[in-house]
Amino acid sequence: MSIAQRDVMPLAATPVAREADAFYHFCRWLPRTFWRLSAGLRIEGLHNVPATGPFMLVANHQSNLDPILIQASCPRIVATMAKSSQFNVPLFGPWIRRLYAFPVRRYQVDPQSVRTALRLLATGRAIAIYMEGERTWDGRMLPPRAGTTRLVLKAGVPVVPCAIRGAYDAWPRWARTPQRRPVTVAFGPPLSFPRLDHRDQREIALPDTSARLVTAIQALL
Amino acid sequence: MAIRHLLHSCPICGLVGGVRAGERGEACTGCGTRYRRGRGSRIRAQRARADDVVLTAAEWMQRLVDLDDLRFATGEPPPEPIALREAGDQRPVRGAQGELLGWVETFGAPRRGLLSIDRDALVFHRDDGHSLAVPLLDVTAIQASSTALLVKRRARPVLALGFVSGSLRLWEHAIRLRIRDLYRESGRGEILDFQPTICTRP
Repeated sequence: MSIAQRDVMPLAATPVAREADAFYHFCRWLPRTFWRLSAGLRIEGLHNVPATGPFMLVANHQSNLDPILIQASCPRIVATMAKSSQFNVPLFGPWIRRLYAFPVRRYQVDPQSVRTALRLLATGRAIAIYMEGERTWDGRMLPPRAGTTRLVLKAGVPVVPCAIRGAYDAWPRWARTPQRRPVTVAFGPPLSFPRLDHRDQREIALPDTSARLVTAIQALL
Repeated sequence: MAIRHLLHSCPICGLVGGVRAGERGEACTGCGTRYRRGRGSRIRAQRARADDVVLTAAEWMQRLVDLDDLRFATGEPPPEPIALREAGDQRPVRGAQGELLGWVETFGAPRRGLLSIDRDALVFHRDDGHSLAVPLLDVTAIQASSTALLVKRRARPVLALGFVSGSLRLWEHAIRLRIRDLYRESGRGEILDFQPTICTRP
């Protein structure tokens, strides 16, 4: 399906049930409304977001705006895997924790972040992961991190590919401040992957799974 | 972050590590070209006695040698002023019900000094005369963060190297390059990935 054919649904028409957390939904509404009015925010493929049950949102990473605008666009509550250093920032750290973010130490294998992700999925929640592991420098997608793919294969839940476009123009990694530029958040059809309990199985399935995820995200870009 | 972290070399004159932060913003120390952000992801190069050049970040990057192919004329980059911070304790981050979400490191105060690469170590010469050497074979991961280059040492806390005027990406590349060479020389194998930890192929 081409981008032009893909339907664009207003949030009011989404069939996805809202989970109860007034503060979270206020924090979704605020940036969504601000960015929509001040710069332009387009949300595509909302019908691809599962109405219930666990899923993983796997996205590209263009800018610091991504977690804000992706969470603002997704009607389900999403717990985002975020780099650990952000939790030390005064006010911002407690705020993202309140919005269900959980930390990952990116310079080491972090088993606790994997345990937290699996626990959230086991309780029916949705989690978001940026498969490149860091923001792009020049706008082109970086190679996927193997850890994301391993988690996908370990969890065995539906994976919703998500692409954010325009966020790099709004706030590239090398710029100090954002500019108001139109951004599009696109959700693709959920992909299913088998749950593989053994490390050897996961390692065998790693290249194909990574390639499928990258292809699915690139198709939305 | 800053443009110098993206432009590890000057796209106009090709000087490696030429784009640096100064009093007049970010400019090349070789040809004097000033770099400023334009509209969106465009970067404007302002040259004396020549028209400005405005290109997207990707277009500027196409004018540069790919980082993987970049080598330093003197073997290593010259010493670079940095602010080094060392992580202290790790503290737990807990959710609303007190459940453990993960661990977060807390960094100490920044210490100013000069960073250089020896044959087999990263050396930090503090302004107060002390120095710290990090054997490159003890480095287990390197990760560029928003404001610093994170260097994880085996069984030691992570170091955050904040580049005062130089390019973080250039140094990330330089350190990786040296570690790759050391791994080959010491028979540890070919490095496949640096993140989340260095992994090799025998």
